[in-house]
Amino acid sequence: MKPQYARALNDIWAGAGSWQMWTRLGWLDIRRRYRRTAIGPIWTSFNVATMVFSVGFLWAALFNQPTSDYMPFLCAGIVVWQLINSIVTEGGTVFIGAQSLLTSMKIPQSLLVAAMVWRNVIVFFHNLAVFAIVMVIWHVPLTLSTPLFLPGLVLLALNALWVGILVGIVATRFRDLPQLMTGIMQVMMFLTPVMWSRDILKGKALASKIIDFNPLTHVVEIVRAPLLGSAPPIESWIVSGLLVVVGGATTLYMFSRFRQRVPYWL
Amino acid sequence: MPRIVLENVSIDFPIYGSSMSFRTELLQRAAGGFIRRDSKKQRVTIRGLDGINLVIDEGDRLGIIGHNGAGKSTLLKVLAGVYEPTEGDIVTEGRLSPLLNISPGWDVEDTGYENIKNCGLFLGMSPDEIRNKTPEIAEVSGLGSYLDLPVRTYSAGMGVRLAFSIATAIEPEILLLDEAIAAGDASFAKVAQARVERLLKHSRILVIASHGTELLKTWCNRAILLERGRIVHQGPVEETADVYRERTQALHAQLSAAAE
Repeated sequence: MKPQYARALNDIWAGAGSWQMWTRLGWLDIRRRYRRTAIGPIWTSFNVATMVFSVGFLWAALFNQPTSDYMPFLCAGIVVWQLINSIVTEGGTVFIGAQSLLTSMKIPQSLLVAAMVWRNVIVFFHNLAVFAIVMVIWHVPLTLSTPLFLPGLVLLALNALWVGILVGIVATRFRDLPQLMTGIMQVMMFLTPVMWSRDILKGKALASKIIDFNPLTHVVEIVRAPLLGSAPPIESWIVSGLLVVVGGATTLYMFSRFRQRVPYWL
Repeated sequence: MPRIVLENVSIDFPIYGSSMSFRTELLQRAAGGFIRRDSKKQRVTIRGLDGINLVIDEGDRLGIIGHNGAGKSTLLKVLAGVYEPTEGDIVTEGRLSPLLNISPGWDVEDTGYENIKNCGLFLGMSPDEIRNKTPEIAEVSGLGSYLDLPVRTYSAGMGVRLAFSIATAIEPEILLLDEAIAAGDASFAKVAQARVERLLKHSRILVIASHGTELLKTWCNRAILLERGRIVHQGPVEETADVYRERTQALHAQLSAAAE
């Protein structure tokens, strides 16, 4: 094994291993962000709730769907999308934002990414409270499939790790990337079945294909389907798993090549 | 056994400025062909360190002397493992505690006690270790009830006291200090020196960078003089300080001659 691969793997190993640090760092980030606010991280839940309960009714009418189906679908989708979206966009600033830390001591870079993912998982669970309210209002059943959202979340987090490292490295060198990612993620939100169900594409073969080729469709599905009480389709599991392998390998290559350059780019 | 060996270490800082964006990069790519293997030569770089050979052994208290921009902080950051050398090799053995421009994990919005917790964690202490050491850190810092207040209410000197107390609490085998430590007042200087003396009893390594040679004369037993990223002299502190003074005077003479 080439030494730079060994050093990259060592960074990931050391970073993942110091879970005490990335869990604490994740919490600290949240505390910092909401310092001196009255309700703290509940703000993000509040924002999700506002979105769901305002435009939700409008979209249900637009898409001609009964609110009892549409509202839980939308809420679960938005909660999951929020998680994906903030991980991708915050991935762009994961190293830039930690400049003082990265230039004051040797620290595994993967640890910073793990902290970023952890902090977003914490926010996700805050947002899940909104979905719990929706479950009660529109009688979403708890089934044997419901706990499956946890392995889905783990798979999503694994993808988040490589995305965070990859986007983080490239964005540190090319400062335009965070802006670009924000734009791309906005478009992706419309191209992924979050606000609309893929059922409405029935009979439109081409559009359905495009949506199926969008890997985010499957990553959303492995967490959302269990929340709505059904097991996700097996192909969504497969696509999300393959994404970890392919993305992880690409990231390992990039990380081994450019890891040591990151402090120079800050 | 703590030890640091640098072999022919050079550091090149890339300067991107406006080419930090895709736009220029893409334009350059289009103009110069798709992949340019010699693109490294066209990149603007600044050489921060140039062919540094240095062995730091147990018991060494090394002072780094030099003007602003001579490469003192860069060398400390290489020793800390922040920058991996562009050329050459570095081997570091031993538990290391860096106190450079800022203490790792430092947050001015947090209270003193919270900073002890966070910085301690970053420096490699376990939560139990931190709990045990907190009273000692509090005492050395001499900040008393200020530790319950956010660090942003501290003066610069008070911040340094706390950061120094934390950085030395982990009983590092290698302690790296930047000159900011000189910001402490006279009474703290005594406490700080006593603490460093204690560390060095266990044959540890101290590396401190400063452009004031007085500090180094009391703390160090050897010194190197940096100029434009190169070691131009090394030896006992007094001797190196003399060389530094002579070279500075020569430079001043040159400058004033040029001015006339």
